[in-house]
Amino acid sequence: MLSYSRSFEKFLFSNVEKSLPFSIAYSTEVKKEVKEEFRVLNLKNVKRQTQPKRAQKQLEALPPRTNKMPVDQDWGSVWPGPRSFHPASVPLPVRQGYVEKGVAPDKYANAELIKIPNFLHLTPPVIKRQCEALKKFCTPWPKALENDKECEKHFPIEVTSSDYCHSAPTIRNPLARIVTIKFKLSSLNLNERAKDKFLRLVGERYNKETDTVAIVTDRCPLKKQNYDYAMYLLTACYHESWNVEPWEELKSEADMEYYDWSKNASKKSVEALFGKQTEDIPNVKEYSEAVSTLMNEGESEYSVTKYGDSVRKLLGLPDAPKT
Amino acid sequence: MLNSQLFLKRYNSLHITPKINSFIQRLFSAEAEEKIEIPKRIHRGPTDILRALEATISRDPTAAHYKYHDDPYLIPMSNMGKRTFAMAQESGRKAAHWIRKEHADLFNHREADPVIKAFLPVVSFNEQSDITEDNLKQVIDDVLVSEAQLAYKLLKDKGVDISEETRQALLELLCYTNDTDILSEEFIEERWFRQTTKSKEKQRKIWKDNSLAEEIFISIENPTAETYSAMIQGMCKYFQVDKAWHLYEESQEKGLILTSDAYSSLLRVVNFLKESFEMKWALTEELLQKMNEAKVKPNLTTLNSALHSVSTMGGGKNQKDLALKVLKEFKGLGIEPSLGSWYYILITFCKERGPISTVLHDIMPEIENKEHHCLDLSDTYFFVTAMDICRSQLNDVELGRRVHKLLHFGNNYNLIGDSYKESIYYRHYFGLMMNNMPFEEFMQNIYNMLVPNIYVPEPGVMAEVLKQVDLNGSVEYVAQLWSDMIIFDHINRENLIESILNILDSNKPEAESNLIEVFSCIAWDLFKRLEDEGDNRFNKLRLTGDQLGKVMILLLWNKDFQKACLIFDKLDQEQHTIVGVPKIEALSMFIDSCIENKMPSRAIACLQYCSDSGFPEVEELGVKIHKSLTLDENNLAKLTKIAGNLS
Amino acid sequence: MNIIRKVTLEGVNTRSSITRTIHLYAPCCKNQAGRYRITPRKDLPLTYEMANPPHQIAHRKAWNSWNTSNIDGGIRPAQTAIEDVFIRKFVTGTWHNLFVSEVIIKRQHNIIRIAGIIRRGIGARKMYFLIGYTEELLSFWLQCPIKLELQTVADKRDVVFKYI
Repeated sequence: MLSYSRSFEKFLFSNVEKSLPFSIAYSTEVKKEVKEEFRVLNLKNVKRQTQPKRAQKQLEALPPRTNKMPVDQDWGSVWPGPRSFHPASVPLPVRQGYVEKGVAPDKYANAELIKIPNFLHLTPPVIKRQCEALKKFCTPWPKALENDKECEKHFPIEVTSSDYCHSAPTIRNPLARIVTIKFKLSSLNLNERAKDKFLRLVGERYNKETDTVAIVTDRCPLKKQNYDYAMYLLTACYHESWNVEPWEELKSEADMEYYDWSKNASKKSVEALFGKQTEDIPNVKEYSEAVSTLMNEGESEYSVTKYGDSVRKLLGLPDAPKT
Repeated sequence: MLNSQLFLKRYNSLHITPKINSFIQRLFSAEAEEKIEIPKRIHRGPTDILRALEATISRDPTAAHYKYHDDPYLIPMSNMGKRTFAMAQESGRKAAHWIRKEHADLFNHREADPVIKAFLPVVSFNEQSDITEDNLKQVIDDVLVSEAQLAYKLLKDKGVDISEETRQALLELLCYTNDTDILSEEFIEERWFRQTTKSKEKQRKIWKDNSLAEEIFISIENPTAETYSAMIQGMCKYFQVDKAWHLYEESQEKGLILTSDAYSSLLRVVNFLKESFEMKWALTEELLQKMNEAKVKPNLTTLNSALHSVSTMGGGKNQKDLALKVLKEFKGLGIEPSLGSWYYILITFCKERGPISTVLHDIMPEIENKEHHCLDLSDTYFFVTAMDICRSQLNDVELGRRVHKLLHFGNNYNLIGDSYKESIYYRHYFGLMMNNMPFEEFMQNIYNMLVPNIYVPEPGVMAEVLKQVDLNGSVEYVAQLWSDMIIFDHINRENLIESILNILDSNKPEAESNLIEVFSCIAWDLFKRLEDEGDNRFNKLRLTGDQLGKVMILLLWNKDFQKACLIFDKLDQEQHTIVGVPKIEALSMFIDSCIENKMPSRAIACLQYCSDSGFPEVEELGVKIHKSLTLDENNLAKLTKIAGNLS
Repeated sequence: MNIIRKVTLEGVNTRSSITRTIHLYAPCCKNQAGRYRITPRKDLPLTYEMANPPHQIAHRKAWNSWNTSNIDGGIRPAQTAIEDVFIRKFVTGTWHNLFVSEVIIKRQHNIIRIAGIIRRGIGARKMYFLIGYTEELLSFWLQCPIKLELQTVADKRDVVFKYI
């Protein structure tokens, strides 16, 4: 394909080439007509007929201004903003480019240096100066909010939203409408039943390890609307969890979110086994704890071994062989 | 390399809301805690951060003005260059505006959100378009005069009624702009380079009679004070004083109270209304009196207009007193004089042919160390005039320095006006500093700082600098000045060439210093440039014989015989076109070096030239040649012919 | 990758159909983009950009176009690419025969900075005219501020990296 296109290009260019000197040759012919006889048009050996290019006028340019730059100049004033590299304005002898055997090309006429983003406008002293200048727009941090604990105490809800800057003529970004609200469940005033209900309402948004509820909203087109919606959700859940519906009385053992040994079949079976009340059976407390742990926290090495040990103790069996 | 991509994704995290819902707050106020002071957010405007950052940078002395492209090929090298480059760029922008105007239908896409009005095509109307009064208001706001006129006509044709305010606004627009389109504010370069020689020209009437403004005025049945004020102001601005006065009297008959701006504009043209000094002053007083009676509060414009009239009233005995009186009265009213008022005082007191006045000394403490804004058009004249007075009348360096410092205080540099005023200001500043400072200090602190980026010296100023060099004997600067002269395109000025050559010639440096070489380089460069340049230019600057002789001397000091020969050849061959002849010292030096280099034919040719030019020293030179060189028959014969018997 | 659809033109043939066929032959699977053939006389000048084939981007070459449209969550990638094409065509055409390097486009917020190396083929005054014209017209077209940052070079042979 490449060869085809190349030959096609060659064909085109050779045509163009041929036509150009044809026109030039014509003009010279017209002039020479007066002096000599009519010259035979010769399309071959085109190169000889092309006129020599007019000597290009030598357009002078100043020497690069790096020559005049004093060493202790204020660089922040020379390069105040982001700008593509220019070799005559940057007094550093930088080189860029890979040459297998040899030295990298220098800064003059080097497009690579122009391409890469440079941070000549953000040297450390300049950054320091700019920070000093911007300090007047900042207010001090409130003294009472020294550490995280204080912050959490006074401001339990944490609202997170993002703003986006893009290199585009428009400032809108659909991702900017997302609002996240985080708060600790302990900061809400809920009793057991209400907490249980709240957790059922909130579902996956609760993180047990950190005891935080995170509500993410993005269904409205604007950030403010999403924030209002999230606050509404929080309010609604809270009030709902305090509200006692009549059908909540119908909560049965199967709906319980945790395993209560005292209400379950395990107790009954132990009582049936021993023929006594639970309080009279020795080691029953340990057993009940082990069963509760196993049921509530799931099976793990620790809970299973503890269960095994407690059963052995309960039934008076010898201890498990140590492996 | 991937992480060097440019993108910014700011997470606005930890935006802890103090806005706690009320029920939660109730749950929390149980514990007694110290009051949390959350400071209020400091309000910042849209450009405040940029301004704060801009305050951290200062001027870069090696760079040209930021409007020029920072590339060695594209940095302007002379006043002409500065002007043409900036205007060329502006004309490119105008070409783009024209294309957008012609093909406005191609630019209908809206990429930007929020929409930026400057990038959209300008609304234009034609007969078919539906126009409402809102369109007219829009066009008046955007100061598009011809569009406004068209819109008004279309609305009238349709028979739509225009409200009072819109009509008044339209009338004001037309009066302010005299029915012509004014240059859009976008084209700043043209405004900057507009040569303000208007003040020197005789101000003539340029108000358009029977324009749309007058039509509208006539069409209004009951013209109010505002309409009268607008018309009077417009007419005064464009010097249609008769009609303005006529309207003024009409309005006074009707008992209307005009605005203070109308009175100000009348005050400004008092000089055209009356002839003699007394009558002018009487009229001024009358107008001010009327203002007082009508209880119209005067403002800064009134003060400046009154001062303008007083200062240009023509020599009266107590012109200065009157000016001061006016100033004092207005100060009593609580109107602070602006820089423009001080300008008028200066021109009243410091006339060119009058006695020298030290009023500037008194003015400076009032205005020093303050940031001034442009409150009046005449403010821009202050600095130029002040520096002029410092230099030509007072010759006071300290005062000049104070004025210069004031100019650079804060944003006062905006009051320099346009490019013409800037160059005049620096011309005077240069002159003042040059005459009063040690030359080295001047070169280092002032010349190197200002030239060539802020100010390019004119040929006249350059001549003065060269004169100073001559007086001081500081020949080490000649090389720099010569290269500057080449860059600024001063080399076909005869007086400059003359002075340079004189300086070089009269200050022969010591034998060991490299200045000899430098001098001869300069001389040769000078010669070559004038030879080469000559082909292209239409007014060749020809070197006189004397100057060529000086060039030759300089070359010979550096023992550059070849080049000296070339110069002599030129002298010889173009005898009829070169004015004058070199001094005899030059020619004798040349003969000496011919003898040194053992070129008898040349020496004899030179001797021939000497005798043609009629120098009496021909004989002794001939004897010298005869003695020092062994000549063959031809040469000896020639020599005898020229110099006579040599024994 | 192995399947490349090719449009074949069979002009003279009476069937005269434009067909799309499947490439089944290995020789067509080679990479030939951005690579220049060695000339017998070794006089084809190549700039550094041309001398490094595309797989060297991010290794020995940098990109010509810098913007945030192709990051995760970036907006308007297609429009940005089309704008780049427009800018390149416009600039190369307006500065006719003057660019000796590629046109480099950098976007930062709203501002588009166009950089490149040009040769001193026309006078400085004309260059200023073109600068003003390009900046203004492109800003009208793309509705954001444009800045040109050009570097002039005396001779176009200064940008040549090697001869092939």
